[in-house]
Amino acid sequence: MIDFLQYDFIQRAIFIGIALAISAAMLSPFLVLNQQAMIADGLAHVSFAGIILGILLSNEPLIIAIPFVMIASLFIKYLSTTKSMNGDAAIGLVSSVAFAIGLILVKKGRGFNISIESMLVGNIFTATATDTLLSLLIAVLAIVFILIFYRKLFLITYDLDYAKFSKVQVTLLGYLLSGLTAFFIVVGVRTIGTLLISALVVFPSVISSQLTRSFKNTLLFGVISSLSIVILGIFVAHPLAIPVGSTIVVMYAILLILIFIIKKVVRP
Amino acid sequence: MITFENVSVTFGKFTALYDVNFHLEKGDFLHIVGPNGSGKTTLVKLLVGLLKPTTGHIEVSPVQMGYLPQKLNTKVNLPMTVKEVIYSGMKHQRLKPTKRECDLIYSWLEKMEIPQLMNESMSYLSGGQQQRVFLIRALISNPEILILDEPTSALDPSFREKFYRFLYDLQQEKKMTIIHVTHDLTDAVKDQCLTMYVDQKVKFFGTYKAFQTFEHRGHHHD
Repeated sequence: MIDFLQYDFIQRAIFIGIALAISAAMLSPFLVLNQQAMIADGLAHVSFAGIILGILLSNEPLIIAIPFVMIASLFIKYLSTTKSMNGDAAIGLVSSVAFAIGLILVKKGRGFNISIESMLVGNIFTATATDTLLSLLIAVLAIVFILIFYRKLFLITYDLDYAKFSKVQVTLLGYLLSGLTAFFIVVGVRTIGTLLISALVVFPSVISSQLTRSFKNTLLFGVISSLSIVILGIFVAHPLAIPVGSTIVVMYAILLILIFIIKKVVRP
Repeated sequence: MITFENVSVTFGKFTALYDVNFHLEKGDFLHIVGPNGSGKTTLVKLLVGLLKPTTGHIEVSPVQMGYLPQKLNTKVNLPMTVKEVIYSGMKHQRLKPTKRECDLIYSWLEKMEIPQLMNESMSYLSGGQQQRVFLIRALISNPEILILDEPTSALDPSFREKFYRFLYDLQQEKKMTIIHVTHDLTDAVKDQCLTMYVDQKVKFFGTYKAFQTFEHRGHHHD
């Protein structure tokens, strides 16, 4: 079973999996516990259009896709903070418009030869060196950002007014968090898939908040569960020849159900 | 220390506060009263910088400020401990609190008679216990100005009395400037305290003794 570890593409997949698992789990509590879980899902839809646009305009699609999705994420943040629009409504608006544009581009784009299915489910085993590098970059950025601003982000998450009173730069940090999330989503979409990448952001906090009372431990347990599930997912998916993204999501769901059952048994 | 000059706040066509003027010195204790929707919380939000006046000018000395908001923990399912919440009120925060900082938090919890809750989840606490925790968050950085928006609404009567005694001690010993918004003045006030009656505009500002005469004459029902 371990034999397949000698292959370059497997090593690369594991490396990318670890980097994405850490990034997602670091961002997770500040999005999910602040009622922004859907932003990951919305940005995944936007990145579908971003990557198609990138494929049409450049040999390196991410050069176009990353700024495209980051701008969309800032636009969502702008709409929801300054235009008195509900955050969910802003995500729904921007993501559906972007997805629609993506579909039109697929239909009308000349010389477009990538399957939509591969974009929707992703494939971590066909990741390029650029994907590896960008995964490493987003992991480093996410770790540094969260470690530096952990206390401020915690305050914003649980009490926005008190954060403003304490002179925390809530707008700037909100935009930075959105920008990083967008970066993570674009990098993750290619390997985990448009439809499943948001699960990587949502599950860690949902699972870890079932296990601990403290915010710090929610973050730590999230990183541990995320790493375990993503690595296990790669190991299970490859021999069974099933999509890695789908395997990871199903394993997350099984873990969550198990936790619910154990909690019910221990504390009836 | 705090000056309001011709301060008005409007939201669209609605005037929340009109032409508010007052001045507070270091060590003043001001109680703000008024009916529901009279602009008390708007006044507090102006004081703590969460709202800018539509017209007029506010000057607050640049000193450490403590604030207890009216709306407390609204995110009931958020995993966070009492210690984490109190630590977020400290002026300088590290990634991991030091032993000294933890001891300080514990001593405050002892003062508020809830030391056993240090590592408890906020969501398991009663309303009164949460209010004490948020009060510690407001006090832990030794503020020179303390702003309390209905701090005792969830406290039981026996602790409420202790709480006010504690506030008067802070005012006496540390010359803390305290602004206290309340519905019920009965056990909060002393004769020498300043009292403000707000109803869109300031209808009374003076000592509590003078306020009693004002109230007796029914002026605030004008």
